[in-house]
Amino acid sequence: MDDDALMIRTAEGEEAAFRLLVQRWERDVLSFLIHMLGSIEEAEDLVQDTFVQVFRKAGSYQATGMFKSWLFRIAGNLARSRLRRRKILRWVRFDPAVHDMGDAGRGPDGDLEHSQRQEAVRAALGRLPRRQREALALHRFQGMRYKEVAEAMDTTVPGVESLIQRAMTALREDLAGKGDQL
Amino acid sequence: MKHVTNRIQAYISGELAGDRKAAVEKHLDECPACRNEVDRAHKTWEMLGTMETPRSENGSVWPAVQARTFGREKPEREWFFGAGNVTRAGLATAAVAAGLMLGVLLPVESDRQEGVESGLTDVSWLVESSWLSDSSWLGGDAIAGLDDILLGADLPDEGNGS
Repeated sequence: MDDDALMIRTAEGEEAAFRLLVQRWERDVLSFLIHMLGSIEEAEDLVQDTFVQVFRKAGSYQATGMFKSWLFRIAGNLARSRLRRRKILRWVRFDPAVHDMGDAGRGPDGDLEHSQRQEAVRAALGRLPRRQREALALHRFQGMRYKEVAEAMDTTVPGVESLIQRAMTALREDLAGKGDQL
Repeated sequence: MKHVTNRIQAYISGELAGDRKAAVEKHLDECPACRNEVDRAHKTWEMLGTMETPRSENGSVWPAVQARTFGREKPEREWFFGAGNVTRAGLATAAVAAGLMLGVLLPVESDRQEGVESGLTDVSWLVESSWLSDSSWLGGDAIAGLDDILLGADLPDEGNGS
């Protein structure tokens, strides 16, 4: 069953439909929010808030096949609000040592260079202006087309193109300044 | 020769089509500098693709979301006076006080019925002409906070089955 159908049923009060929707999207929303906030704990909180908002707004959802953009617009708004509330408009440094990063198939010695690079990229992402980071996260990590990103961020496709172009240039320059020849 | 630097990422992302794509490709055929830019941008793009997403050690958020949505018997209707919440009662009191003040301050016609209609019910002039219509002084956080309160997003789950 597609997302629009699930949303219609959710609006009608069908719990099973809403549950399916939550379980279908919670990992993607969490991943996006981690990229936005840099904190897994805060991201987890906001995943809950995102779906509570989805539930509350289900009655006003327009079933036009753009559920993903609509969902990530809610998540993005909550992330922005949280960033403002914190009054810290920069990345909270992510500490991979305290989080499970998954098994990428490396040996027990670990790949120090790999993890250092991951950390460097993550930090560089965190230094991007918020809108650039949001556009890049939606496009690169959520696989959204520019049109979907534009919907989610309430902007235009050329606007998204510009945000992502600037994000990628800034990222490359940032990493190059730290010795990564990209 | 005009470089295509500002369209390189869109080109790599497959977001260009038709004439725009053809124009970029034509330029790349002729411009080693832009070809080099494409190579570098492509490497960064690929590297981002190898980023690992942290995994939550907690399970699905569904139980918590369920408790805050379907778990509530009356999620929207128990807003006022639910479980004796002081904030809600305070807001309700403030709203009543504001209504009374408006009733006193606004001009009242001699005819009682007209007075009720014009003084107590028609306050649109105040909203349209005063700072009440300009919420920017509140700031985004205050608005978001107010939204949370009105929607009950951050309120305790006292409505949850109680």
